[in-house]
Amino acid sequence: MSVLRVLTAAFAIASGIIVLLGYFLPVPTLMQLRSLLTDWAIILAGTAVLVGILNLVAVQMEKVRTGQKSGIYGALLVLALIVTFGFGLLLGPDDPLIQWTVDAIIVPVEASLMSLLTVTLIYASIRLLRRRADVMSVLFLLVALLFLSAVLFTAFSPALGDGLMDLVGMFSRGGTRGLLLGIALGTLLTGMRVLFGIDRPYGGN
Amino acid sequence: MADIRCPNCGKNNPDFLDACQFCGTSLESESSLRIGESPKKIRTSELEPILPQWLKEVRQQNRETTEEEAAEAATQPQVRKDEAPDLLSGLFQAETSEEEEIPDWLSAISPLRESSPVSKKESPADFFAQFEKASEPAPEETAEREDSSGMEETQEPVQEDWFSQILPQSETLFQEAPGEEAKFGAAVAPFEAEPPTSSEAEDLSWLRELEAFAKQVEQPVTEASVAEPSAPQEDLDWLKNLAEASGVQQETSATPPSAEEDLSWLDKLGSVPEPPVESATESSPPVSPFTRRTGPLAGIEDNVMPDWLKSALEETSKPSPSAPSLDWLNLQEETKSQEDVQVSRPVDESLDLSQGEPASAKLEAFSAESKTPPFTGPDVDSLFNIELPDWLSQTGESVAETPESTQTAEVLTPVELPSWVQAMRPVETVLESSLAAEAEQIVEKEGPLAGFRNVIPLAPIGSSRRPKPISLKLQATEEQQAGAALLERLIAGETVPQAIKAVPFLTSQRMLRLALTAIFLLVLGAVLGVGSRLLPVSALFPVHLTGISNVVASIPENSPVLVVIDYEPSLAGEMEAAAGPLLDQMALARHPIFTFLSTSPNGTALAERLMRNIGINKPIPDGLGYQLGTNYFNIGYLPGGSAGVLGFLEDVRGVMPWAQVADFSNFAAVVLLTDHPESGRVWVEQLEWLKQNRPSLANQPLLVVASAQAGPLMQPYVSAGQVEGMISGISDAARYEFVNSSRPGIVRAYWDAFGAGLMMAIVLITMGGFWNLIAGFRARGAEEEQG
Repeated sequence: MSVLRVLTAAFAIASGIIVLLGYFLPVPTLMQLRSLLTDWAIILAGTAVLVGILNLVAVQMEKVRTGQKSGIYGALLVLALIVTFGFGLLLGPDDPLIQWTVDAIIVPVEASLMSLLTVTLIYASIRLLRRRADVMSVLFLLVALLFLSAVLFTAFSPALGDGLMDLVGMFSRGGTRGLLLGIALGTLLTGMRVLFGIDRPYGGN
Repeated sequence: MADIRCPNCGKNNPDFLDACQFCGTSLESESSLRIGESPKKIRTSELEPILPQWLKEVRQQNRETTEEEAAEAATQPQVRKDEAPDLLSGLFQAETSEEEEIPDWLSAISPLRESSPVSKKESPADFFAQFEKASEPAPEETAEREDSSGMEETQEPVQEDWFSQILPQSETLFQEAPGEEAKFGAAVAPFEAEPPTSSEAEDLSWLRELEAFAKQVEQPVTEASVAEPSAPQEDLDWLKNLAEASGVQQETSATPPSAEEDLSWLDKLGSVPEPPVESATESSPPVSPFTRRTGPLAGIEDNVMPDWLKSALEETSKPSPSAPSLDWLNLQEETKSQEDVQVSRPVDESLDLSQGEPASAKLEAFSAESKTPPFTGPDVDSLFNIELPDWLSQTGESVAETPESTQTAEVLTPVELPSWVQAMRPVETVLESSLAAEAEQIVEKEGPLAGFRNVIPLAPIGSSRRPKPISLKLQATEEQQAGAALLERLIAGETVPQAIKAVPFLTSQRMLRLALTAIFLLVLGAVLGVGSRLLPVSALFPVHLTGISNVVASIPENSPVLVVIDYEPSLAGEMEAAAGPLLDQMALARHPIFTFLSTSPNGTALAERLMRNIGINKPIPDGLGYQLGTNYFNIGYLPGGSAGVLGFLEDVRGVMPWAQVADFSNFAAVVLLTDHPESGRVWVEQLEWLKQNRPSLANQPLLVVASAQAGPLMQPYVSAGQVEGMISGISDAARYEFVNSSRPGIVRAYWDAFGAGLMMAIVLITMGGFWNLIAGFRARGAEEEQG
């Protein structure tokens, strides 16, 4: 096991270093190696999707086999998956039947869930304001009212709405830039930790 | 688990085996002594002749050293060794302690106490030299020593009286055994002709002489051993001393004055031709007070003995603690002697002094008929040679429990104690309990507990000592029982099925929710159904919208444009409405060939839906008549995240073989439709790096259509110039559509409904907040009124 751990760590670090050097050094060999490793990653990622689908089917079939309470839903899910996969593979994504499936099932269901999530978040924020009335809650209430007013005025009074959006956007843009910088630094640090073997997300603990 | 090494084969065996599992040899150690077994005597004298010379010399030196130590130990008071009564041992301990103060009455009791400091001041060499002098019959020196010793001064009259009478009696003992003495004389006859030699010569030759002698007198000695079993070594000490002090002492002129004195007494015995009785009776040399002479006291007349010695010589009804051990040892010796007679063991073994049995069996012939008791505690009293106080002498008598002792014991007159003292002392109770405890102590005789006292209590099973049974019935008070009854009623009430209360179908909360839902559905449905265009659209372009029209205008005719579908079906309505004006304007103005690439698994199906909803693939005049496979291509799903994006940017057909273009630079523009800030950031970053490394991509525009929630996170890339233009949400799409005079798209239809819905939401939230505020004030007012 220790040998396998060392091998996986060495392979991961070497791959990262090759790809990183391929970005910065215009060496044809490094670039070819980087392209080769990238192709391997794409293939593995595509395979991972299929593996995920198979795992989903296996879990649901296990529920059906053991007669669990939600087994019927699992069976329905597996059946729909097989039918959709078969029709999409045979007919293609532009077939009217597949398009009907998307328009009648996938998009409405997901849109309903998203709408429900939105309403739930609004309701939770209102309850939070009722339970805890401190400075942060007052600030959140002020920002929410300002945002709603800007949107409202954008619809009814574009000039006033644009002024409010610029005012709100000034803070949001600053916060967004800081957030992106933090993401970039975090990504850089994570990459360095993987390259140095400190973090081993590939299971080489 | 411990292993036992086989003495025969040398292999290890488990400790629970009795015999070796390899050779069958018994693994039990011969030297181990178990409970219930008597010790076996092992004779190592058989190995003596085969020892090398150097080992014999070493052993001889050890013997000499041992004998010196034995002689030194013999001069010490033997109170502890002989298990004296506790009172005497306590006196001895008090004597040895230098720190403690000695009371006057105790110092007057023991003359040894006065002489002990003197002996402590002397060096060990002087101490032994004193004994050597004491062994010589020099009356002058003895008198001088007696002068220097206070002990001798104080006890001189008593000692001269009774001890001078003891010695003739002891010599008489030897005369009373003429037969045994004759045997002994015959046994020691070969030693008579040999003159005394020096100590070194004697050490080397005495064993050979004994061997020669044993060959001659084997049979007589065997008979002697049969007549009298060998006694313990302790019993012979006094005999050796007596031999020195009596007739044998008269022949000590030739005795070498060395440390071999203890070994030479046997030679002297052999050199005595006539019985020592006569010389002993004629002159009784003074005896050193440190010499042990505790043996033949039984034959002494009572009138010459002190009272305390009489009581000591009286046979006690209760044997001393040391008596049992000596009895079994005597019995063992007797058995062993009988066995020796049967097998006719060689004499040299019996006479072997190195084995701790220095002719003891033979010398026992002298005291065959006057068998002395073993060396017991009362004999130790002779060492003190003092007159013990009455209370101390009474102790020994009380132990004897003889009628004489009861007659001589003083009767303590009861003292009249105060009444409160009598009431306080629980003498009778303590005595009864202590006597009962002693009586109950039973010694285990068998099994692994053999030798332990009072291991198993005498109380029979079921007696009063057995713990009383405790009732298992709970002793609860009335209050506790009342509480338990209440708990039982509560539990019983929970188990009783209760009728479900009829809940009114319409409650206030449910009515409120239904009312709100109805309002939203009715208003928004009406707005969408009517197709209202009442709400105004701002003509002012934000900064991120200003460059989109120029990019669209710069796209060549019928050039391929890459459209990346990177959103989920849940946001398809917003994204389609936001992307519609841009794609419609582009298709209407430049007739590009769209290539749809999806980075979402559902994106492939969403691409076709997008083209249908924005009306591009509809036939003319409702649409622009775009045909799949001719005017637009759906190349499918691109997996791999950032790696997939990088691979596609570097090699389009290598990753997506169905792509219409061979190189990414062939795309005139890239339109990214995303609702995820992370995926949008990946496309921006990878494409920017490719633009920096490929000059052909430097002028390739990137347009982003983002959802309202992803727009703020993509805004910095727009501000940095990495993205030429961005449409964020329905609001920007409506403006873009309005400014560019595009065909009436779905975004305009959504705009009124979007505005109406936002207005209703804001109003309702505000109203709800005020209602809660008013309700709170009312509740507080009610609480204040109630006090």
